[in-house]
Amino acid sequence: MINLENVNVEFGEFKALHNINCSINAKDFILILGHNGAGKSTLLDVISGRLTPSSGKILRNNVDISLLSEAKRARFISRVFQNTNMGSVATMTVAENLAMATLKCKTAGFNFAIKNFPQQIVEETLKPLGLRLEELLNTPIGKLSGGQRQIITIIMATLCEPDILLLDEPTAALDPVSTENLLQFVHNFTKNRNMATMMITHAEQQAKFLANRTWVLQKGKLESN
Amino acid sequence: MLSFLPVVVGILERGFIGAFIVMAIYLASRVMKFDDFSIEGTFGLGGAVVAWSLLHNTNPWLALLLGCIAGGISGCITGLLHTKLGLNKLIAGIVVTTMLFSVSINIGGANVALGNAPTVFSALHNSSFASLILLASMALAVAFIFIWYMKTESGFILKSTGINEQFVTSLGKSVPLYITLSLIMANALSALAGGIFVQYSGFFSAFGNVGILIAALAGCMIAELIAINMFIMALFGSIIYQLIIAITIELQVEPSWQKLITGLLIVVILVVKKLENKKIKGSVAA
Repeated sequence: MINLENVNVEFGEFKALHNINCSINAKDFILILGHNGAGKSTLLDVISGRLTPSSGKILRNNVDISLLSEAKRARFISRVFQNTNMGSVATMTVAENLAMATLKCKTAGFNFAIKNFPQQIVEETLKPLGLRLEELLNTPIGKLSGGQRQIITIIMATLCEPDILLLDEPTAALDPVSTENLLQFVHNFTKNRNMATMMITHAEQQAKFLANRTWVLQKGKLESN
Repeated sequence: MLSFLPVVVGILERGFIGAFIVMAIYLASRVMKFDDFSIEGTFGLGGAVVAWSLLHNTNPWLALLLGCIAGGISGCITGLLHTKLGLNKLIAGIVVTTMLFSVSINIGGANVALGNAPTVFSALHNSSFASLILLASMALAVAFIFIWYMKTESGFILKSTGINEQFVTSLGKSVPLYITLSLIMANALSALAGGIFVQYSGFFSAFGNVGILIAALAGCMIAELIAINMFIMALFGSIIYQLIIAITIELQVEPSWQKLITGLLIVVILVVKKLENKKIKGSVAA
């Protein structure tokens, strides 16, 4: 589905990514491990379009998307950051944020989405979780706990069924209990979907039950694939 | 009591004209988090375009529309300087407002009286409240248009861009487009205010816009102190600001001190806000 061919990212003399070759297939759950500064986030930056590779190609279904902007890639690549503030608008309610997230696939107009779509999400996504998030629809998302907000952010990132979901240390700002809940949620949420998931995490032991592949990055090089 | 009436009407009229710029400041500075200096320049540009148009026998409403378009184009240039050329927000605004001074003076001249040229107020001379009603209606109409717009898809994305650009990018929307769009609207509003002011006062001065940004900022900050809906409160903020200026005139303070008073007013509002925040934090801690 997505292939990286000889991808390099250089910042002056510093090589952040060195000759990366890999492929990501549908339904893959890839755990990305490595020390700080190993190039994990840079790898996700390059895939999501936040960074343009210095050389090499990123192919989606054999079409080169290396020069496609981040906004254009957002139609098929969703990303969730460790900072829970980055994936939503804190002053808007949960319902408004969810409605905004539907704009990416534009299955309905926004006015329709704001009135009807949250109800659909309530029935199909929020209620089955059993976390009572459906009771918080009219609460500004900034008032939710970090764990609740991250779960909503992941739901928002997947509403339009992307090819790949990129999770950049989604548990970094969470306490151990919330981390456990979030990982369980990610497991339940991704297993029946036809998308690939890549997750950077330092909670390796807690998260390894999720993955079918594990990549280790060291000094910008993909050591195991 | 009756002698006060024209003063009160004057305050309200100037307040409603100022409300357009307060809304412009709110849109650029608060919604988009873009402190746009060019709003000062487009107030002058709007006035210049309207003055030139009226002196060339243009319909006064069409003249206002031309002024708005000119303001919108200026806002677009500020937006492009920032989003495409990477110029700092503040510098982009200063560059455009500096260029607009030359443009305005070449379009409208340094000081121009409209003479007998028809304005939107020409037909209203017989009634003492007609100008006030017209200005209030226009300000309210624009405020309600913006309240409606902010609830649309485009309005939500625009608001989101000011709060979280990364979120808007992740929706597949263009952040530069929405930054530029907000500046187009803000500068069109400012030019509209300039155009209305020229028609209201009957003259255009190339220096008439100096300090208008800071006056509008004061109005915006007053509005924020009493905010329920900012676009409605912009009207009150602007009127209260005009009231404060009128009181200083009544107290026989020299007009040359007006800019200093406006600056001090902003400082006072900041102190009040700071004290209020402390009070809120104190009560939460207790």
